[in-house]
Amino acid sequence: MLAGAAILLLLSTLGLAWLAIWQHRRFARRIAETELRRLRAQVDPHFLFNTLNAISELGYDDPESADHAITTLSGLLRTSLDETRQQEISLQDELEFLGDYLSLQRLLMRDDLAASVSTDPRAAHARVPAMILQPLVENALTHGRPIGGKGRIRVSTSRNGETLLIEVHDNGPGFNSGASGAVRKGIGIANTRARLDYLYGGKAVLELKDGDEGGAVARLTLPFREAP
Amino acid sequence: MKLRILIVDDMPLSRQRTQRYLADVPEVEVVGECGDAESALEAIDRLAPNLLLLDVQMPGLTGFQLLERMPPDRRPVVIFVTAFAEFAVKAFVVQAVDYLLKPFDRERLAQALAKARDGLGRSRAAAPAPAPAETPIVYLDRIAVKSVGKTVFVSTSAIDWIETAGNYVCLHADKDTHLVRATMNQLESQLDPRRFVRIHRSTMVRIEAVKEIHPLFNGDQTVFLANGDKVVLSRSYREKAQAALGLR
Repeated sequence: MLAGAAILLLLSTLGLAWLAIWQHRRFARRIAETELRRLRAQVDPHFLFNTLNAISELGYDDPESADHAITTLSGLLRTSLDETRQQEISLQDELEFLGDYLSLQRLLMRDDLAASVSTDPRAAHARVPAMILQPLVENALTHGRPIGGKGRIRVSTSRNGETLLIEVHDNGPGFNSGASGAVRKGIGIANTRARLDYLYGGKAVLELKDGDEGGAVARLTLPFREAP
Repeated sequence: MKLRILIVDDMPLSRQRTQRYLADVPEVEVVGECGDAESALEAIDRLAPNLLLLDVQMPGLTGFQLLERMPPDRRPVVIFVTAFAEFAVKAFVVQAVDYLLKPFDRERLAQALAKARDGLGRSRAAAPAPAPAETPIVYLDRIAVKSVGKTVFVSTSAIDWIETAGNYVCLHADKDTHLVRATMNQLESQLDPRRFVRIHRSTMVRIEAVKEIHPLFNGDQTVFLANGDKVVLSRSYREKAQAALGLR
């Protein structure tokens, strides 16, 4: 009789403990998901307003470009606002998004910006975090443009065995130029790093350094994974 | 006052848009445009604008850093023009007269320009008076009118209304008119605002002398004075004038 009661007590204690652990795990997972959603890169509102400002001017003497810009901007917003979007997408899709973003930036800067994107065909099907590149390019555009000269942004991707390498080059003042260097490693970069940590543990690396031929480079190294 | 404007903005289309809106505004001259703060500093030295339309985020120095590098006494009046709402408080601290968020429309720009003109008018009027803030304000109760061989004193309570006449103002008092070498703004600051009110760019009336007010079709109003004269109250002075006349 006594033994039966003891067993019952033991079982219910185990049950409660299991329930507590299960709830804790579920809670931790929800926090991680929320954190990821918060960190997910989105189109910067300033970029949005600057683009709208440019489009309103284009409407006067280049309606066709204004029309095109509205379509491109709508596409970017739709992607950016899509809550159901996967955390990871193929590099090809990511570069397509980036291409649209860059074409609008070129519209804003007119002749003051040149941009190129080159892709290693072996890397095109790699899986990457959605919108991981846009903040890096935005950072390069904000801080990495030479004063009074033409800005150049070059994005290159390559695959080296089990590693995917993505680089964003600019021709600006670089990181070692005092104040602007410190400003550059701002909130966008911190968010990107935190996001990489959530998704890859310690296996993804983001380095910011001066380029070999001047300017600055943001270099992202990810473990190569095939996109679904 | 004529606005001599320098546009400082790194986005060519944004500069173009501002230029387009400014083209229709009277008493405005765009003296130049710059794509970054460094070249703006040089252009300010060379072109001496009295108003900056200033972006915040640009390659190199920001708009705020540009202002830090200028001696305060040589700084033009500043209107910030930016897509960033979050710098408004900082703009207030550096005494910008307005803060335009892109995209903005013509009306909003016109408002900001009006504030800039006000700001410029104030700093110019304040310049010759030494420490006006510390001396208690004493309003004139009579005005000295110099003419050939004599000086006549006209009591302010005898003045019905005042109008500008070139570099002079004309005092209408007791059927007489007297010419005084002064600007309307100078005189306005020396007369008691409880007794005199500006109703037009070129007209001021003694409040006690006003008999009737009749509306006109375009928002202006006709003011009839006790001595039979009639003058126009312009739309742009209506709000202030109506308050002074006890209409609201």
